[in-house]
Amino acid sequence: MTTNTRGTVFLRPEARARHLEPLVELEHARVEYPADEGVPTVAIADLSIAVARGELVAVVGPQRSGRSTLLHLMAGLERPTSGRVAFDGTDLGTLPDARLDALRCRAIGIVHSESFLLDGLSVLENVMLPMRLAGAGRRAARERARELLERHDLAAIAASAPAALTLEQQQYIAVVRALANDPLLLLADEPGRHLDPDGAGRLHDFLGSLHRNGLTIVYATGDQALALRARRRLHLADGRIDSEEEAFE
Amino acid sequence: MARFALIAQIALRQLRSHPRRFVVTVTAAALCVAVAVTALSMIAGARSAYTGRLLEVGAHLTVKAVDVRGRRTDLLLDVGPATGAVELGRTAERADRLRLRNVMTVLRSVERTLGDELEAASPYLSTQVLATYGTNEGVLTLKGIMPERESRLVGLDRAMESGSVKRLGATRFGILLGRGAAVALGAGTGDRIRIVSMTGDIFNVEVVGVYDLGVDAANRDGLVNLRLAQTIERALPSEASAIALQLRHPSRAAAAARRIERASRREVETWEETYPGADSPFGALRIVLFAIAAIALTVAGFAISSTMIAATHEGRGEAATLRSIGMTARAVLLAYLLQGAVIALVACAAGSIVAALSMALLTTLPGGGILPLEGATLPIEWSARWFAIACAGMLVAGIAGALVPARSAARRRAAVVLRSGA
Repeated sequence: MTTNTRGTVFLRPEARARHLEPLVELEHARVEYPADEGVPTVAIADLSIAVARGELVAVVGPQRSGRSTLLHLMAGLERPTSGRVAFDGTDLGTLPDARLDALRCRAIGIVHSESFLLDGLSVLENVMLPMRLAGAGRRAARERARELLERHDLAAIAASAPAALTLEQQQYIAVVRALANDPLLLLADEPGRHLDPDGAGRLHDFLGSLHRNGLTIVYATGDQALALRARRRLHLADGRIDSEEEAFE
Repeated sequence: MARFALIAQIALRQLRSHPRRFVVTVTAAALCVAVAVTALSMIAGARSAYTGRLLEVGAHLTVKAVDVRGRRTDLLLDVGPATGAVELGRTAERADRLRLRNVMTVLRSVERTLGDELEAASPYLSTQVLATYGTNEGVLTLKGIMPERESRLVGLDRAMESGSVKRLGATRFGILLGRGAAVALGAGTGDRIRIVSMTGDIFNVEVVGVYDLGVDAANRDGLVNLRLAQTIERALPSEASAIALQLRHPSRAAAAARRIERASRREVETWEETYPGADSPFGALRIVLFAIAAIALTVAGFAISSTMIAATHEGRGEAATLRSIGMTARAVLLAYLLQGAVIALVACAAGSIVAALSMALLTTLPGGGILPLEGATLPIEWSARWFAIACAGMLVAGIAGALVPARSAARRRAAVVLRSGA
């Protein structure tokens, strides 16, 4: 146990795990990509972590440290070369692609560094997308999408085209879209990367408010200041956990 | 169903997002559809025009001198060459020397059997002679006819270039020459030509007219009175080679043939059996036009494929995003296949309009040199079937063209695309 200058206490990971129920677990997960010259690229070397329900976790590290790959593993967008990834007790490696897609649609929300809102669809229609992919009818999806936008004070731009929004507004809409199916887990891969510091800060405040409402959130960032907003921080380097911190105030 | 509606919405949205590319691809594919429709219509039109003309000037059914079991129905009485004595019992084995006896009795039986279905009927006697005019000579197929009946059968009056059918009826030793035969002999109306029968009998006959039936094969013959032909062939007055029939509905020829066979016990040949090579002038033309149609649709498929390759490459970020929020790989595949299908369908509609306009223009052009029909315009068969076949082919080509890029897009790993920021 160590203490920083502010008096924050950092627990060792083993102690935390005894008290919280894991939502996502990785056991000796490894991700390799075949390379052209024959030597494979190792994105994740050997990771074993657990994210409990209700946690807010920051994954910190420089470029090419494996942050995005870690989030993709948790989302089921990547399959580990070896090891195990489990979500809510289900081993994602045993699921066929279609079931993985269905799980991701219903239980996991993803926000990227770019909003990737679909042009040609309004804000409301973009938020409706995950619901309709989950099989909801158009009317039900529209009503729920309106409700979501109103709840987060974004109803005024419901009819707008994504191209007419500011970058910050687009990212807010991307987050709301990720919440469309009331997911158990929200993953955000550097959501404030293209925003100015104030905008990035406001976005992370928004994520914080979602966490306070009970949502489990894991976000990746290269900004140490933004990382400090999370109670638990995983420092990655070269595809491994370099250190892990958890703060209680 | 809800998911399919969403996939369709995404597919159409992607098409609308690049209007210029969509228009260019549809235009190219539409032109290919128009070429395919026109080629198919020309194949059918050419055949229809030729067979149609054959049916106008030829018999739909021929009542032959053979019974339905393939045996000769009548003995041929042969006259001895030196003494002139009639020799009974010697029969000719050659099919062309078989005779229908009591031909008018058989004719009346046929008329009773067919009733209103019968348009015209004409007995005839075929023979071959050696024709000479001046220094020109050649083998001529003579057909002995009853002029009034033959006129109703083939529209002979309308086909006369000079002279008249009436004069044939009024002149015992008259002959009508087909245009081809007249040109070969160098003879015209009013000329006298010499004909020598197979038995060596010589006849001088007057050309009382020249006709043009519009079919090369028919224009190489000569027509004489049935009585003269019977004299040339040394046949009895009640004998003929066969009876030619024309029906109101040639498509019912096979059924009518069976009825006549049952009633008269005579073998009846349909026009398709009489002219088995009717398609042969179009063998090469058909291959060429089918090849043109197939190539056109293949080119259209490649045009759509190239457009879809561009679309899937540009849309890889969007596809990865959709995959990340739960869209399945199959749905991505379906969205791109739908785009290919939509392009194909729009091309079908536009191409059909272009085809209709081009075909209307083509029917005004002369078809000489393409068809063995003199004076014909370029034949086009207007039929919904050719439009449907070309459009079905376009749809298959469109979906097939989109399949490879769609599968590639569906298999693309979303994580790789998202990581690269595409």
